[in-house]
Amino acid sequence: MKRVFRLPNSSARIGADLDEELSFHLEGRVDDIMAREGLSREDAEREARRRFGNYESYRREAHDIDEMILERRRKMELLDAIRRESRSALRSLRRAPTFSLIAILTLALGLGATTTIFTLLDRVVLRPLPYPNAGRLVNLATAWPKLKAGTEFGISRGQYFYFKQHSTTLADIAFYDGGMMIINGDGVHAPERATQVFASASTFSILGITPALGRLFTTADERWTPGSRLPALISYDYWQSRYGGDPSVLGRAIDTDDDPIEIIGVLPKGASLPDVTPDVWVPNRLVPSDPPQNNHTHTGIGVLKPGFTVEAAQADIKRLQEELREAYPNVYAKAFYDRTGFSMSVRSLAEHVVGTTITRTLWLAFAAVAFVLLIAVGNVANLFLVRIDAQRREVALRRALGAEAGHLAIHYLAESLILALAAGLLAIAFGDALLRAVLAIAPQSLPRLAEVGFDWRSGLFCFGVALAFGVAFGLLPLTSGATDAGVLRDGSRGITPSRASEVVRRGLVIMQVTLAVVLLAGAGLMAKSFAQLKDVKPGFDPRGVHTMSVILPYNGDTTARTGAFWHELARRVEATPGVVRAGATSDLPLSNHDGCSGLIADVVNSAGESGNCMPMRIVTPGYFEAMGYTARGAFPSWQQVESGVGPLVVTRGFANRFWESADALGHGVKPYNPQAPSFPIVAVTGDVREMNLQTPASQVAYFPIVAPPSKMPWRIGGGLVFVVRAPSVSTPAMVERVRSILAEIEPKALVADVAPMETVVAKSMAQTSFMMLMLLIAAAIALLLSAVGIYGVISYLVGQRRGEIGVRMALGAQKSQVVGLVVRRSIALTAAGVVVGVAVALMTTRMLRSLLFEVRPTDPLVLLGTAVMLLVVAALAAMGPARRAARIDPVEAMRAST
Amino acid sequence: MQRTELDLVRGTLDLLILKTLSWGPMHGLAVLRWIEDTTRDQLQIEEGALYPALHRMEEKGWLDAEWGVTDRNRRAKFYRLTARGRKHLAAELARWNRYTSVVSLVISARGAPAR
Repeated sequence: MKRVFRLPNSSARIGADLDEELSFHLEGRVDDIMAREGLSREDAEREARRRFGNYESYRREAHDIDEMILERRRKMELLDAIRRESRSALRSLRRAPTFSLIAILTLALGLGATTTIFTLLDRVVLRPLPYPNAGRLVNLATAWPKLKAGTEFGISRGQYFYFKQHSTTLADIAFYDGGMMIINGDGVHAPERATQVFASASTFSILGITPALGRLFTTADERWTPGSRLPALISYDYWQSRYGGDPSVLGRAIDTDDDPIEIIGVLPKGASLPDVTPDVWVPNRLVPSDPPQNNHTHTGIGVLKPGFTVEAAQADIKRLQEELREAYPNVYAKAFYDRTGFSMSVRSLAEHVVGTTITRTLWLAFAAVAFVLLIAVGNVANLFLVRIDAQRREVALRRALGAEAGHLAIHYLAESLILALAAGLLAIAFGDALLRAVLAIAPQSLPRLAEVGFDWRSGLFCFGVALAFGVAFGLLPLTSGATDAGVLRDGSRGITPSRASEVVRRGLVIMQVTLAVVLLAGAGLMAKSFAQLKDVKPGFDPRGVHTMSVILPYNGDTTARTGAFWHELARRVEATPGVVRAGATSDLPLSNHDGCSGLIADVVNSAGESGNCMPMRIVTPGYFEAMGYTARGAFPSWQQVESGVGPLVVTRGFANRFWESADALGHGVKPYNPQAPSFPIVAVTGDVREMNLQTPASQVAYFPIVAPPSKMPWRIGGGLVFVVRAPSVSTPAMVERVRSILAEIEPKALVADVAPMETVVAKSMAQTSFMMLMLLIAAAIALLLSAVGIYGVISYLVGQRRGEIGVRMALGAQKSQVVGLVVRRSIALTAAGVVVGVAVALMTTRMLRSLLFEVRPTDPLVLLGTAVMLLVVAALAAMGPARRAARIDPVEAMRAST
Repeated sequence: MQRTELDLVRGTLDLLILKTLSWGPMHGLAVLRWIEDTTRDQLQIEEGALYPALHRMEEKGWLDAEWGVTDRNRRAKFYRLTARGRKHLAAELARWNRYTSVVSLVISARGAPAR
């Protein structure tokens, strides 16, 4: 047997070969039969076919097997080819370790940072909320633009019932209020605070929450009476932490500072509301027969009926509100509408939870890291170009010896893909670490924080981008004609200047400089904002001030008794060494508390208003002194307050609003309604920034903890924030003192939320400082990478122009002049990028506008500074190549170039 | 010579083919003829079944297939036993012998089973 033919490698050949094999068999059998049994050819053929059996069936069986064989062989060949190419590519990469390492590191840096921000963006902004109906959930809110523009408030019970019953677009509405509760100690556990929510029964079906244990609320549960035992659901985490996951927890009672509760169920892990993760859920009190009230403080979430849009729901709700207004003119009076500009707002829940500021911040951050990535890619592309040039002769030799252009192209592609994959792997590790760091410094107000983490989508993004660039780099050799064999004919030392190559390099550097300018400009603007924000005088002095929440269990105390408690606490604390003053407030400044209450002044101002919904605080004597407020008049003393006079302090902004040029001292303010007692103003503070550092001249009224006895307008429950000025004492030591004093005077009290006031101030700047930090880091990296890029190109150009430089030196140019020449070339090249960059910056920095504080997006100083910085960097980056140029031996250079 | 027809048990065909090819590479027709000669025509195989069997054993790696040329200068597909094929043949032979000897034990037993 002679081996002659190759095995079939196509589907068509399989069929042909099989036919040939089978017909060979049949013909041979025909001969056998004719010889042995003496039949005629026709008879023999028939007999042969009979003995063969079902020809078609056997043929088909064999054919299927053949196709299987063919497919397997194809797969093996492909795998072999891949393995071969990879090994060859790895070998050649290992021979150039510097190139490979720098390329991988640079790419990984840019890729990792981009993947991190992409993960943030994806999880917080792009992905739908983690509820089954996420796409159909809407937030129902009220807007009071004349009172406080730009903020939305909640809905009322009356609205809940009316909308739920009459809406044509909403299938159901969830209704809840978040808050805090105190769980009393029960001998086993210490007293602790827990996040609590009062939720309607509909909340669970709308958010797709089913119980892990026990049952959920029913509408019957909503009709509870005060003082009765409330059914409660606890969260999975709370169940684990407090009860160790004990399944017998159902039916157990919990003693709280308010109504007692009984556990009827446990919720599954991860069940939470969009804006809060409660430990304990109790039913909201929803009695349909209760008359509507003007109390719009509750969260309302609706679920759209299939086929209806958010806009349709908005129109529907607006219509229903009009009906409600007509039905209850005393609740929704015309005066009320005129004063507040009241209106309804329906938005998708995702939009409400995430908010436009966060969305914009994250997109900006993504743009910043994308810029850094592009700059890094520019450097890596440059590295590839250098390598391609260096390999020109080797490649030309290979081509001359018979290597196909296609095979070489595949080789380059394999190299760049391997580099890209390695960079991708490194980027994932780097990006994961970076994400943790970013989350640590991110403002706590970042929504959906719990959902952020590296997962397969991040990996897909990272490898996708890495592979895309890998392919792009692999195709670079084609652009610069690296496989052109004409190089061999050239007598030079192997580095042939290619016009296209030089243009590409210049272009890359200009691109890098442009991006770096934009990033630096943004960083500069943010830094300036931050500096100005830091310089803002908030109207008090946070240095050396410790703050902590002191929470009292509610047991029906009168305000007088509560006042006595705070007085005693402050007195004892002030008696300890190092304490200057101590006091308490209902809300710290700069904690962005948005609420307001109706306050009525004893005048009518020129705008015709004698009162409005104004921010108010409840404070104890000692608070203002501890916080370092300054004022005209005298801050109230404990004696004054405890006598029931009700001394009031207002900010200058408040005073100016109502009493305008008159002196507010001596005038009075009534809280909530004209029947309330009047609180006389005893002091007017300076210009205070109570809400946030950006908003000046807050208009706040500070009420005393003890009210005039004729009527008590509020209940001091829950607790206050205790404030101590003691610069020489550390915060933990201060907390210890307070705890030990509390153990003596009120053992049931809790201390929580401890923070130095300076931290509170820093947190209020968190958004600005976060953005600034991100942009600064990005700009710094961009600057570094651009410097490397400029260095690379200038080195290359010096190499190209050796002959020219040699001639100049031969004609008498000094070393210093050569250095100057190179540096000037570098600056000129960079200047082109700077010009484009400044133009782009002028167009794009306006996107930072909402984050800037008293800085114009086109601030000329910042732009000038950016330009100068880049030109200086260009000069510095050119020093190395310039000095090398100065050391050129003119004779040798000229000889080499001829 | 009496030609008795014995139907071939499935699976035994593979054994026969492997054994036949252990003498050397052959094409499918030659395999059939050899079996015919050796069994003096007493074994009836549906001849078409040979080819799926051969191709299957090639796919399993017991046989290698190559196109070649016969003595009469005709193009034919030759099959050759591989090392794996030899191992499999040895295993199958051992199994066959065990099987037949166990069956023989029962068939040639002298006593009736105890009640």
